[in-house]
Amino acid sequence: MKNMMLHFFRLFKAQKGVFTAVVFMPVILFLVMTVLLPYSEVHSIAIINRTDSSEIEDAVRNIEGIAIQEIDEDDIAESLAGGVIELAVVIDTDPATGLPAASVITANGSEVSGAIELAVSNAGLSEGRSSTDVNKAKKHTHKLLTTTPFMLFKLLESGSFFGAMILMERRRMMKDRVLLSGIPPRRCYLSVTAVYLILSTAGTLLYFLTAAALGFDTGMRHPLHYLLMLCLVNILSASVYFFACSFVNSESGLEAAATYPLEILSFVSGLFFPYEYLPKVLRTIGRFSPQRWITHGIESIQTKGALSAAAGDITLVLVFSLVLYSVGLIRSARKS
Amino acid sequence: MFLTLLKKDTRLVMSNPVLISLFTVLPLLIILIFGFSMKKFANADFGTFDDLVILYCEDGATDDIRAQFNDVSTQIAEKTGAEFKRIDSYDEAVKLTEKSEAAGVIVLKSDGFEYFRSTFNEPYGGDIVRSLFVQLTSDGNGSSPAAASIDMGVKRTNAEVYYTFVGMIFSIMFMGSLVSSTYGRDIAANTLTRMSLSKAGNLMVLGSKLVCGLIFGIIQMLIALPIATAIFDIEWKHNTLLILAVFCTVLIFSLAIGSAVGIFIKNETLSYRTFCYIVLFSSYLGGAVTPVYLLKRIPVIRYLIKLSPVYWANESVISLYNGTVDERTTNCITALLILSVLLISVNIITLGKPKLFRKEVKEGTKE
Repeated sequence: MKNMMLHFFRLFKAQKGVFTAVVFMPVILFLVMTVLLPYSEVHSIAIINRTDSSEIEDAVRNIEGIAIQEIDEDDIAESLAGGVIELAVVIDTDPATGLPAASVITANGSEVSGAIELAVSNAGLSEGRSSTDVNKAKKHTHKLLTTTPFMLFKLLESGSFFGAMILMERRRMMKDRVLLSGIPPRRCYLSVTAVYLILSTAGTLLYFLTAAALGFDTGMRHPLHYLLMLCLVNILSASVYFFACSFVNSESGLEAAATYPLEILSFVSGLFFPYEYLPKVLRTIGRFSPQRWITHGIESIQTKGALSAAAGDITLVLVFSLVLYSVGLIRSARKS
Repeated sequence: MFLTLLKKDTRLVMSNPVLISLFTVLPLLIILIFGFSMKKFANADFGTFDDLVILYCEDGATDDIRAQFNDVSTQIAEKTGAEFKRIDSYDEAVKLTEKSEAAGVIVLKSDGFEYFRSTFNEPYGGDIVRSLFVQLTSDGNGSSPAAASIDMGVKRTNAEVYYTFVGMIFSIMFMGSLVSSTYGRDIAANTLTRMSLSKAGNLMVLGSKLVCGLIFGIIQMLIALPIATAIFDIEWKHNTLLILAVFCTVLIFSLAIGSAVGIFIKNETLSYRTFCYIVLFSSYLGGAVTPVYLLKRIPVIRYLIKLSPVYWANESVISLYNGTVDERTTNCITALLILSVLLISVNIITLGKPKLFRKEVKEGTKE
């Protein structure tokens, strides 16, 4: 088995682009998509301070959970109308009192306008010492979950290289060579699966470490749980493509049998925008997507803080993978 | 002759199911799916304070502390809708907070308050309420500024309208693949040189492809726009003709790109893929997938998007829909037309060589 694994590892390495696509591409795509999918539920506001006093401005800036955009005063109206900001706090001197006063301007109302008004009207208090002690917690950084559905899709799709390798070996009459050598075909397929899983795990680990190094927020008590869920994707990917390979004989057939359905199901699993904003019909279809099971598992761990919260989803994915892989193994072993 | 070429190009397009789906199914898919999906997100309707519960319990609280808490929690509850619930067991409250069933726990002590938040998963609404609580329990002596609330009542473009227009632009941008594909097929079948050498000539060959693309592009608009208008109940009050003019300009630009790509990348599959990558990249930056207002918040990207023709068209169409005719529209149309002329010129110059060959053959025959 060790020799077979070495053989397949060399084959993977020899295929131009496969090694890069499986190991390095997830990181590159992660970095690109972080920029191109900047969905966030943080409310964006702008502050224009026409006075010398920073009391009101500091009171607003001290509110966590909102993002302050630096917008020129001339662009405020356009930014409000265009949705770049939801709300603008304009601080000016009240001619009647000579003291700073603020106007909280919205285009069409905002969920946080009440909170901002409260902060402004109590700005005088904030300069003193608070009698509230707050415990330490992880600071909010850019959430990994924004790009997770896209990354899950790419990790799933990487299995196409595994499938292509199986098809290539089949065309090279691998089974005959294996039978002549006395090695059971099953062991051969398990070897190539093991090599693919090692390579894809390396790619997943690289992506995870890059995200950690850049300070991305997994939203989990133990970030390693996120890595475990990603490894589950690799297992699922290998199973799906191995199953598909047992029915088709060409790369284009493999695309039609596995890649296209995965693409369609990924679309309704929150590939390009958050799942919870999809119409009900699409969300219902998305529930049947294995990718959605994994994302749901990640969300459950984030919400409940324990891996056991995702036990149902993990079990579903593992059983589904086992069934697909077993069927694929039986059919592939029979194929001449 | 021209009609014959046009018929040939039309047949080439109609024989390719992928190209047919580009002008029939694709625009509707993009417009309807994105339009429905992004509705709440585009309105910043995140439910930040929905079902937000803050638990509180006492641990030797004095009357003053209780009074202060009641005052502060009432103000916060009024302005945000957060609910403050009393709980007897602090440990239970902490467990609920860590399981995201509450946003935080406040303990009323004899000398102040303790605020416990989730160590890894505090919601954004919880952040805001906590910040307000900390601020309102401070002892600063500054003034209490007035806070006037002004609602401009500005008509913000909702997701349905936004994605109808940008989805239409995105789909129109793919129409150039008709031209690049037909060039690819002609080159593969060796018919391009024959047509160029014939009485038709390069200009007629290019002309038939562009007209073919124009016809299918208009069909695309005639299918997608009325359906989207009916489903999303879009009111075409302002500048309808100008909006359609911008769409037509984008179409011409797309066809021009297709003609340049098709003539440089001779392989049909490769030219189609290259063209798609150009369109996808340009459209992404133009706000066709991620709304442009989100891209405008990102430091480097907010400048990069201004290079995208899809961005120019997007900004122009949205401002026209909102009743504003300004330099965005004129600049967009002018820039796209100039670029189209340049790209078509590149195509003509590149294709010029067979004509030269024909001239040489003629001159050789005369001698």
